[in-house]
Amino acid sequence: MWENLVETFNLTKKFGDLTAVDHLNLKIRRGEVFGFLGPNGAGKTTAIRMLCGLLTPSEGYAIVAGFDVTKFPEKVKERIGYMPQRFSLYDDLTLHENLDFFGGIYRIPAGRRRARIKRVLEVVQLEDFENKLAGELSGGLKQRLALACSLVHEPELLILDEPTAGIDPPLRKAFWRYFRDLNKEGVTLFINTHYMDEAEFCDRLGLINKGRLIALDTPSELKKATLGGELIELIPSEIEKAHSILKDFAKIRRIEVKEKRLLLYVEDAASSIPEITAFLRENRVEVSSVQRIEPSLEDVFIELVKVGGG
Amino acid sequence: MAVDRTLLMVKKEILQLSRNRRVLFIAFMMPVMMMTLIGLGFTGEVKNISAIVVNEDGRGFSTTFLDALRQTDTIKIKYYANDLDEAENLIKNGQAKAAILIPKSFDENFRSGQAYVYVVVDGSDPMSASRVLPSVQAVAQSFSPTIVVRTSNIVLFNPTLRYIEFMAPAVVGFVLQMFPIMTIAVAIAGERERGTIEQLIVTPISSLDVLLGKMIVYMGIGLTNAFFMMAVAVYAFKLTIRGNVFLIALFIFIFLAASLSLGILSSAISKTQLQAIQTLMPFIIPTAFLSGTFYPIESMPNFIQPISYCLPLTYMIHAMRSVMVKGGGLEIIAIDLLALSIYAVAINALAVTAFRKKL
Repeated sequence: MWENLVETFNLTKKFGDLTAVDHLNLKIRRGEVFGFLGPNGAGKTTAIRMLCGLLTPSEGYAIVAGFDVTKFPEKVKERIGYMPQRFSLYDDLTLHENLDFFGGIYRIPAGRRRARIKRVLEVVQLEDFENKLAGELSGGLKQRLALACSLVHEPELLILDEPTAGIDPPLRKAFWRYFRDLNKEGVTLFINTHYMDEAEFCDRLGLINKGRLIALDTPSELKKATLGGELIELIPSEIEKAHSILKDFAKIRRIEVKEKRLLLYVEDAASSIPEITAFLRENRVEVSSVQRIEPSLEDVFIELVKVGGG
Repeated sequence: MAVDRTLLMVKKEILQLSRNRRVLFIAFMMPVMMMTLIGLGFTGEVKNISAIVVNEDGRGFSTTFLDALRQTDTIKIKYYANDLDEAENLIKNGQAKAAILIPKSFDENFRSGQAYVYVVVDGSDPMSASRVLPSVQAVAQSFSPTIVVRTSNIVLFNPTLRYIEFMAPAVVGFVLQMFPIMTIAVAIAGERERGTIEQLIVTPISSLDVLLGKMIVYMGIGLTNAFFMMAVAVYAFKLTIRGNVFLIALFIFIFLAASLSLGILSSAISKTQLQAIQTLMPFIIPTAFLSGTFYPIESMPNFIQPISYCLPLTYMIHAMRSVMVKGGGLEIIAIDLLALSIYAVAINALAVTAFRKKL
């Protein structure tokens, strides 16, 4: 058993002059929910397509579920499930026929196939639609069918390309519930997303911009490391004055002014807050509110792109 | 390659086809309709061909002769002209298909046993043209074997050759070229357009299984079409198949494989169904007109003929006509068989390579 379900070594894909994926080195652990976060066009889909064997790398290689994708594509394909961004099942086949066809290709014996179809339809709550044509389903239901289809052969690794793109928030929540349940059953998930709020649900995140991996860690560590500690939001009576007073305060690493608020980056928020407010009061600046806030991944991303010169 | 996966493709393809009435209609009804229409439109006797009479004599036996002509249902006398120029103009304008000239002193010549009539036919309509002459001849013969019917312009067809015998083998080839190419190209390009091919590629199924599955289904449709078309020709239009049926089947099989491969090739280099069809157009249009389906290649201009001999359908039609109608054997169609086999293998290799590369 490999501990890492996915390992890439300088994985690179060039389309003419464009380098879509640039020397990507990734390790994805068995059992984790890995999020691949980046703006549209960052190279997420290209990277995923190389992992699934849909694209041949221009350079480097990828080991997925223990096999080199380029050398043993079939071995890899048997072990992974893939849900593309766009619905790609047969509209003119029923849900059952679609699942039966794909299950057959994975050589699931007929008896077990029936049980699996029933099970995956239950997972995505589509039991009642089994004999409907896939084309008759609405967009959100189609996405659920696509997820069911990628699960029919019990893959070790589920690769999802923007699974929640363009679907409404309640359904997005439902999807994340499915993902969590699957993860509990031992499925490793590799999820492409450009939704920052979703990325928070991942165990670990890889941030990608312009084809390059710019950071890889848990969401909270990413925030801490990138933004230099914890974040305090402070609303003073006089913002200009407070800003100039705090500029040289030793414990504050960085200050940002956001409208009427000051954002202060410190090592440890709990001990810093009393000291900072006391210092401001000494200098006759009133503090109407001060609290520790959770930085968003968006802040992290913007910061990383700025630093990395992305 | 895996038999079980290929069969799954076949089953899937049949399920999908069974729900697509439009494609089903095109796949099964169109070929039979084509054969039926060509049979009905061309085999039945040509009737009521509009004709012009120029009676330069106007006396005695000439009127009797014209009365007899009026009795045939092949020719319908519509106009009377004063001279041949006037008659030819009427034909040029499309108001009549033929002119019958009875020269001066026809009456006297008839009595002395040396009479003749002129027939001018519209060569642009070989079907009608070929019927006029025998009809006039038949009428003349009924009076006296000594009346000579002379023709000017052309007679294209051997008047005894029935058109269905000329067309049926060609229609079989023509249909087995056009329909399989189009249907398989659209089927594969459709999977690409809808993204379903991507879902297939991430499974362990090989591209060869995907192709083979599709080819088996469309080969089945093609063979069924061929069978039905021949059945229509034989049972409805009394075509006699004189050659070896197995030889015909062999040709149909090779030709179908080649057509399907060409369809796969066009779909492999296209992103959408529309593109796939557009890709095929530069091939399909010349094939329709230059392969000898409707007009004999021999009557085409010299500079066109080399193009005809580059088209696979030319060889297929030659073989079909030779075997089906003339009862020819391998010795006559060896070159056709060789040409088509080489073409089929080459185009298939090309198609499979292009398809796999595209994936």
